Amino acid sequence: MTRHSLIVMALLSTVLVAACGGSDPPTGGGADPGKLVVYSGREEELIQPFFDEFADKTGVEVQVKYGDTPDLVATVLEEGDRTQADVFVGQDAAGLDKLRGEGLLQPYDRIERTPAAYRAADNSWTGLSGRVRVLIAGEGANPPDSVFDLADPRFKGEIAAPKSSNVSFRDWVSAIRLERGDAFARSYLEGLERNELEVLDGHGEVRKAVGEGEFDIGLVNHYYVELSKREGAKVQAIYTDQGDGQFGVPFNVASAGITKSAQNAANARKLIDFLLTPAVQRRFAANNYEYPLLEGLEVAPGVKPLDEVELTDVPLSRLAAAADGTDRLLDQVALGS
Amino acid sequence: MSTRRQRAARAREARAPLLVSAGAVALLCSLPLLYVLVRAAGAGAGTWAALLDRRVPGLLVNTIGLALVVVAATLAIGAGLAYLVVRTDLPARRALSVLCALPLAIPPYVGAVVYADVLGPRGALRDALGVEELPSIFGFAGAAFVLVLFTYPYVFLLASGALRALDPSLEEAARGLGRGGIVALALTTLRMTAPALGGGSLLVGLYVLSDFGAVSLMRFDTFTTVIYEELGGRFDPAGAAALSSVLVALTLLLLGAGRWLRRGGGYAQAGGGRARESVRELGLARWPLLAGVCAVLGAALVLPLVRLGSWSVATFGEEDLAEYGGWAANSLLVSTLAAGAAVIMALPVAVLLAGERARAGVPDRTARVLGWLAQAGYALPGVIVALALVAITTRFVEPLYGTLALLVAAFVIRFLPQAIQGEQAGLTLVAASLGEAARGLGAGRAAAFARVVLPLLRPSVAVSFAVVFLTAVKELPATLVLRPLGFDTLPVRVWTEARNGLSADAGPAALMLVLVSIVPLYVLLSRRSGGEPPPL
Repeated sequence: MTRHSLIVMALLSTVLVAACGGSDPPTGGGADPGKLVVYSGREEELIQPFFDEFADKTGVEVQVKYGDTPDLVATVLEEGDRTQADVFVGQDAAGLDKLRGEGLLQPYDRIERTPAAYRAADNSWTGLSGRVRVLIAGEGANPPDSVFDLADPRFKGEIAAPKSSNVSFRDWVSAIRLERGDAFARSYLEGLERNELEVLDGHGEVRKAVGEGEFDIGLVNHYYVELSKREGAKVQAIYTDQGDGQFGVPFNVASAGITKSAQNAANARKLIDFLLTPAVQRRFAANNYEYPLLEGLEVAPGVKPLDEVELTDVPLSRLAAAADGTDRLLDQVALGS
Repeated sequence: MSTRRQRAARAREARAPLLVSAGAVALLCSLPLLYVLVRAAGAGAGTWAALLDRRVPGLLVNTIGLALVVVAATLAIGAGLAYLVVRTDLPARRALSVLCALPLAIPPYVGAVVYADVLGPRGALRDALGVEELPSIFGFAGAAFVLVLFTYPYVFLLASGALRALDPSLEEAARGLGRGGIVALALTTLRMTAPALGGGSLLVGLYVLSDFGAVSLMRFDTFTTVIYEELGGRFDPAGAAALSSVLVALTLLLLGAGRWLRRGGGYAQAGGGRARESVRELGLARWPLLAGVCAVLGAALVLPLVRLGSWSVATFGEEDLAEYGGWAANSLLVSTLAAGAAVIMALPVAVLLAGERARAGVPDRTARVLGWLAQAGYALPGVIVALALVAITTRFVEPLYGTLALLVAAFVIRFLPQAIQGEQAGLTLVAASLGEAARGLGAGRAAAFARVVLPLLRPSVAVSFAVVFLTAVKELPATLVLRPLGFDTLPVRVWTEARNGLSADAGPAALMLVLVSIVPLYVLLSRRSGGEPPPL
């Protein structure tokens, strides 16, 4: 009998673990011209149909790893230039802008398809589709015309928002800071905190809670309201501060970029080309209730056309740059804690 | 003639392979710790000050309070149920002994989705009662409620395993010596099962520290939820790592407490136990007790299954069953590999910890440190463990990156403590003198272990396998980051379908997840309660 059976056991288990990895293909897929690896922070439901269509059209095999945008950004930051991803699709621009800042993206050279306002200054990422920040109001709610009225005591206990780590929420706070100044933003957030703003896990939770009448008002992206309506919830979207010279509603984009070390860069460019074709852009609008980013395309019925919406005058690049300061402010105010 | 020094030298030499293998295991498991420490060191003084000042105190109160309440409640429920089904004449106790463990098959985050739906502001209970508004279930109470319901089986499994292995004649002897029933119970059974109870509550406590899904759905902030928040909006792992290091300190504290608990149980018996059945007659009390057991099962098992079933019916026909089969197969594969690797890798650590204790009163410092290193990362959020492995493999062992093996390794790192606790609890019941006797009869140390100790350990190895499997099969955060491309598991599907806040869409995947857990659990448990050796 061996007296080293414990070592043997430990080694065996290691071998077992190693063996089951042996049959798997190596990472990244090599330089196979027929492949493409996408990390997507966008929901499968919203974007997989387009990946499928691209695969059908081009014969490129698209492998997608879905995750929360921040987790995927953190993953790419750890992977560095050994990332498996060729394309990164984010729910917002901030995640991709972080990757840009770390030098992990390469320019997308046909970027002129996207209007300049909706892409990185160095062309390292482009918006894919747009959304505005609105209020979702439940049945019988008496929503305000201005988002700043939410600090009014009459809304006490009636407002739900996603966690401050939600990037759309954070960018909304950044927009308030940049437009109205830090002091105003702080006292407004403190007013929300006094009004017992309820911080929920994400937009899905917020629209559900408002749809069920738990709260009168929620802070969400406009398409969540349309999704709730499609499911039969009696809710409406409130575009706040729409008067001349007023704050308006901040605009943000879901976005995509190509990693610097992409092994399938040509296919990556092809995919982004495809996502920016008018046909796909129209379907972002029709299926997902989003704003197409190409000029002259229609929005879905029920969604307010962009030219009728007063947008907050803060460019995306400034939102991304303001993120750290906003985090500090949110830390200090500690909403919902 | 063998002097004391020679004996000590021989003992050291014999311990060497044990130390080496336990050391290798501890090294693997401390990789995430290493990562957290390196990253936390990158957090500037300002980050630390802000976190310590504003976040940490409240989080400590929340997290420790939740852990204490959940541990106390699971201990009462788990140990009570175990005693009832193993040692009393409760009606249908064989069936109940299996059923009581099954809530372990329901992931707490799935349970939380169900209860948020049923007890929520527009939930079924409100409609049933016809009232305008229910007291909110969100917050501490809801989080504690859900966690207790779906983690008490950890205590139940370990406690009933220990009770089965324990010879009932001890308690009878105490009673025969004139002690009253309760005193006899406290003096003998409770004391002998203290290691198992301690191990079970430790598992619960550590689980509470690490839970993300249930607490965030119940809108209660603990370290884990805030670590995600830090990592989330900030894209800066330093703050997350700083909070994680506090969490690691809490874990070590808990492990220390567990060791202290286990100290009370320094007793062993000389056989395999279960020489015969001993059943305590409950009399008329059996009916209210049975009702109590059914109430627990109704809340922890029946109601969630019914709700998931009704959601699945609502979406039936829209789903592609073959796809679900593939996801289920992936879940089974990765969890089986993880559980197998974990019970094997836990052995040297458990032997080192338990064996030393039996011989010298407490494990020596080396054993203790190795034990801590192997377990300290248990409460780390899965995403931190996953990011640590991404960082390490992409830099040093790139071929391993993106493979199934790496995902299995992550599971082993995350859940090894469950196997260590389970096996250690089993080992403490096996008298060290048995192994010594076998060696005295000429068997080598390893042979004595393999032929005498290991067979006696089989029940606890089986339970450990089951517990790790069941925890692994519902793992989500590390799976999301580390899974090979195209490798979806059932929890990933639940997450995918539930991302938009729709419960019904996640129904089929969640139900399937519960079923793939319940079936192996049921087989394992019913074999065991039938008296046959577990299938390992």
